[in-house]
Amino acid sequence: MEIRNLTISSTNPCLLVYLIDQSGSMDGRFGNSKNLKAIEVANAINETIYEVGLRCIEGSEIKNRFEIAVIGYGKEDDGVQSAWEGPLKNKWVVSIKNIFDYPLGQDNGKPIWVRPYHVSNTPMTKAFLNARRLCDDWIKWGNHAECHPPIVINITDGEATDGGRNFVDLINEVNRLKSLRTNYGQVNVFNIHISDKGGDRILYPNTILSNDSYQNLLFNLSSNLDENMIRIANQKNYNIGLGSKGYVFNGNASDLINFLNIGTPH
Amino acid sequence: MSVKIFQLHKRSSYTYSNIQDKFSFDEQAKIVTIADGTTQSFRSALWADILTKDFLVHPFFDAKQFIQGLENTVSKFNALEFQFSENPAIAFLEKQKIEKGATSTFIGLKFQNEFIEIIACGDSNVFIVNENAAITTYPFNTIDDLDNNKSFINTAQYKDIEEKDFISTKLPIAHSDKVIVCSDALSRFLLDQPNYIQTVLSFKNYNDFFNFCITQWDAKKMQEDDISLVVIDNPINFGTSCFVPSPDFEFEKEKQYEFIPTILNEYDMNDFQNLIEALRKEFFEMNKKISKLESLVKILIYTVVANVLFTIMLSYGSFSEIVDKVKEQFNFKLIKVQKMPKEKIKLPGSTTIIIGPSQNNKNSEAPQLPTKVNVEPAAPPVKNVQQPAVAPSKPAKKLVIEKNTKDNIPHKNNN
Repeated sequence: MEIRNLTISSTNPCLLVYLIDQSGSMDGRFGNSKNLKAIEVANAINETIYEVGLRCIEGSEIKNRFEIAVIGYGKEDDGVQSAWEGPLKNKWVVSIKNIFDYPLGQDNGKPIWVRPYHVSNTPMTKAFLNARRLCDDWIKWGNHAECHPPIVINITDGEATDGGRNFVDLINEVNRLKSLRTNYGQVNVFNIHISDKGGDRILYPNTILSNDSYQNLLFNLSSNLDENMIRIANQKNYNIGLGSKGYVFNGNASDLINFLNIGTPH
Repeated sequence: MSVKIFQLHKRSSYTYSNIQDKFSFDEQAKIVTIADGTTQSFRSALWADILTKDFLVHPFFDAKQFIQGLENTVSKFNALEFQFSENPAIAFLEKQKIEKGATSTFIGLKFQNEFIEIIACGDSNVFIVNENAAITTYPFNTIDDLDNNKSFINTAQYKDIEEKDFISTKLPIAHSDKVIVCSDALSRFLLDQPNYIQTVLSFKNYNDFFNFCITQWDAKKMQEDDISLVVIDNPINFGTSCFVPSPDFEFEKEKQYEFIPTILNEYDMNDFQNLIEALRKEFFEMNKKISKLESLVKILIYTVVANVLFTIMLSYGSFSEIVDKVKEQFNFKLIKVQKMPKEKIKLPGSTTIIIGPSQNNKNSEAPQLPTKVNVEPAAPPVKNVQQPAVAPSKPAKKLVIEKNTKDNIPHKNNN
């Protein structure tokens, strides 16, 4: 089935899963920004949820075109937990309509849902394991096999502390996640690698030349952007083509939001 | 009947009143318009409606004139009053949406005797079919051309719109030609599958159109969006008929179920399972270590025993020497048992007893430990009675009673 003919709708919603690194190292500065990495990431997630809301409002009604999970890892030792707070606490997947019914608070009138944390280890493999279970359940539920494949976006600044020797455990877990599929394609896994180190921004590359093994790892773990995403990226003046990976290194907050929007199908 | 206008709203809009595609026509001026309000912009259906109706009043087929007239058209939209949601989060969205403006595509056509005048902004398309069934498409020839066109008319950004965002032309047309004008979803479908153009031209009633849309939506061949279709099978006689859903028609509302993942129900269970799994692994590892230790201890014992035996062998030369030495060391004595005739022991004033191996021990090769013999005190004289129970089946042996000391306890293997 051609994904081009698929409309994301309340009948055929799309699942977005954000994995947020909440480990201790997120208390560093984000590039040249004055903000901490944890704050920038939380802002980006809140902004993205808001953008998704803009795409789903018709009249004064928010249509359930998207279901969103925000999974935090590293907030409690090696724990992985839903990052929703307030009335949505302990929920894993929330429809965009319910998300707007229960914001956590507001920032200059703009609703927010996620707060920044930077606490402990980086159990990234466990986060991907949870994402896999979530996506697997979601695809098998109701008519979701007829929907756009879920999009998993991992935002991290460091190495997984539970990746196993040579990160084999992490690689295997991500591959298992990517092997899940709906009738319209496989689950997409994208990585946003944020760093306090200097260096050139790398946006949606086809290849990567780096001595940083972890950078190479995250690049290789990322899915290729599909045709729809490439089209949207090019509309946003990113010059990319087929074979581009859903990987961003050292991007600023604007790149984060643009990347996330790219991952949000129209 | 030469002009047929069909519309159907997407199922997620439920009722026709929520459709965001709008159309207008003027039979006298032979003008038809379609505007497709974009789903994601604020109250775009109202803006699309204003655009189509205003064009009938000011039918500018020149892009420059069209743009100049937009200010007036936009002012009509801005004059509308809107009530914001009571939900503050949604109200914030609405306010931002209204700042970003309402967005719509637009296509306007005017049928003249020998040509059609067209002005278009956005992804609607025109298909002209001549009497030989040859097809001309305008302005887009392929799906990619159509999808790559992102032009639209926005109420907040209308001042930024440029002439290049419009496509205007005059297309020659014959009286026998048939013309299709449609919004983006159907345009994309017909560009992809032109063999359906004849099907579309043959729609006679609303059911034909409705069933076609539902079939293609269900087959996922056509994007599920609002559908607007204008079929002109006689450009000269401009009698217009509209086919739209009846006011009481409504698509069934999809049932809203909250997706509750297993991970939520079994989250604690998963932790518990992980703990069990960790314990199982630890137990397994411990077992492996214990097995290794056991093997090591066994090897150690075997080595020590072998070493001792080897040392002994070296010291004594042969096995028989070792045996002799052991005998000597432990001072073993052999108990020699002689055969003796059955003998009755007569004790004065008592029962006669027969001493010899008991029946129970008759097969035993080992000499028996001395049996304690109780001698009863003298009793009234009775006949000598031979106890059948103890009658030996073999000849009784001579009893040698030795002092039962540590040194003379016989060993079975002492020889």
